[in-house]
Amino acid sequence: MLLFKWFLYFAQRPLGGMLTSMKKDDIVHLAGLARIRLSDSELDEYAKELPAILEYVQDVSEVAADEKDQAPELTPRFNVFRQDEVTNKPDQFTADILAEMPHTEGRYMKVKKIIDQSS
Amino acid sequence: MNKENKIQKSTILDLRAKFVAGDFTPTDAVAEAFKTIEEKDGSIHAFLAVYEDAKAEAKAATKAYANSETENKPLLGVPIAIKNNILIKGKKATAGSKMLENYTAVYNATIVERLKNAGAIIVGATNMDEFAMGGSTENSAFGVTKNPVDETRVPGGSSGGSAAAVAMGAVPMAIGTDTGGSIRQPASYCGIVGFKPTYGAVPRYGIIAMGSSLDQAGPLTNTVADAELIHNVISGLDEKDATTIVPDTYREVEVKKKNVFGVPRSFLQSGVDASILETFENHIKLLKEAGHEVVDIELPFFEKGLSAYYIVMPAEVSSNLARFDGMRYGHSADGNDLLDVYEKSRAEGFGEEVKRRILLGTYVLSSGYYDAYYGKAELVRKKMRQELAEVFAKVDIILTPTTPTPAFKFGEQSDALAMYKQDVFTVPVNLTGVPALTFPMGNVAEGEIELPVGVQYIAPHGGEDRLFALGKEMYDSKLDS
Repeated sequence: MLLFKWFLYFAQRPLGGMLTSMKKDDIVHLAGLARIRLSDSELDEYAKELPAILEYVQDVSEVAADEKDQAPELTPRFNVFRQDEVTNKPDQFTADILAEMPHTEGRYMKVKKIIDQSS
Repeated sequence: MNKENKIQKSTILDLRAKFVAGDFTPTDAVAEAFKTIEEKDGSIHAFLAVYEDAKAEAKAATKAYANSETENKPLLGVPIAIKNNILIKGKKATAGSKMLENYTAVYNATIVERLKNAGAIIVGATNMDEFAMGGSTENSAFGVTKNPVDETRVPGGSSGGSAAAVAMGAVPMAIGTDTGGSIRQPASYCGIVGFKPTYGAVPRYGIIAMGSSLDQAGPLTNTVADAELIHNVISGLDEKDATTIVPDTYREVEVKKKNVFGVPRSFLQSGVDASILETFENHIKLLKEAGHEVVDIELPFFEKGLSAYYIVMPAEVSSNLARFDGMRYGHSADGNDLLDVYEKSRAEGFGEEVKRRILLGTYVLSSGYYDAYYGKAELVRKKMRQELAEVFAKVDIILTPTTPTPAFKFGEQSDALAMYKQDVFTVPVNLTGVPALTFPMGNVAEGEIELPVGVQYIAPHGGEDRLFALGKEMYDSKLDS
């Protein structure tokens, strides 16, 4: 069975904590979602700072939508298309791009095993 | 004594005139740029890299002048410095981060291509806050940049290296990027001109993304005329950037002799230094003397701009920086499994401020909080645009100081939130996508030292020409030549 165990783990767990009081656990969870491993001192620091910043930005919540906000945007939005054609020569960038990869095998990028066959 | 530095305070037009006359050549200019870097950059640290191949390009440009092959090359032989989040083929593009310490660009950014086609000679890459996040260049993974005006102070940021490179006289022009003030604030701190174009005016192909609904690239120069010249070279539709606009996207913004300037009085109460307000009032007097009208305006939603910005920007940051996963390029840590590689690579590659913003962005976009934060911030943004349309029906330019304080000392703004408040007047411009120009409006005394402070002119969308015309009138024409 194909299973992204860690993905399900994070997806199932709701975010806890109030805005102004974030626990270390909440930061651990947030860091998990952001795929960043944080040190203990970083966890302590962000647990103090993030609530202060969130509290500061909270004044946007006082703003309520009114009928004017139903009007179309002033900034024009439109789709941009281009011809569906190949714009580079074969292998034009291959060597340069491969050279940036941390792990390669021939013309392939090498990564850790993704599929867990045991579960 | 060394002979006088010909690049310091020099304009591109001056240099070109000298190049055409032949008494000072691009070879001399690039040699002088290198000499200045050698003499001053050990201490200032504006540059992350200096490109030796500039010398060969300078030689070719010198030959082109000798043969009068200068057509369609408005920047021929002029040295330029480029912020290190902009891709130059074959050169390291670090974005000031350990994550990209060894990353070599595979292609040129569109603006690099255009600058090269115009004949500019890229002499080096400039230091910056990591991934353009910060207002002091203290967040660079490769050490701080010092302000050439007073080396105990920050040059501003995130384009602090670009501002310092121009201010120390190494180059007459540099390119920066501006997501919430990152061109205008360092320009103000270093006493030079900075310009943030209309959203979509300048292609971002090949520029490392931070906040994609906010980012724009623009010039840092000694004069407004030079900023205009560079903007005209780098702007324009690019099929590789779908957000670029054509000149008639917005209603024409007329260039007039007499303009109405609007001053958002209550907005100016947001913690602005008294000395800056005094210099600002003096600038208003100069505008009136020049025959312009200055009126008071209200921008209540602009006052919420900083809050909206510190929701929208981290949200976009957390998405844009998800690509740095240790797989295809950039820093890669060893790990037990895929998740371990991701988490360790990002832990080691990103600095403190970048992590802070990714976490904030992840939070405001997470299920249950999205509407309360991101949804509301986008609503504020919409109301800001409406507010702006109403105000620009009555005034031609909105006038503010560029920053609430002059350049601060290293380590002085140690609290993240205090640092963010430096952006109060610049972020509304990015949130609404309008263009803005900053140039020095005077000096304020801080103890023994005089520090430059900038004034900000904000125009409607597509109002570049109005800003350049007014900037030339109120700044360039008053410079001693």
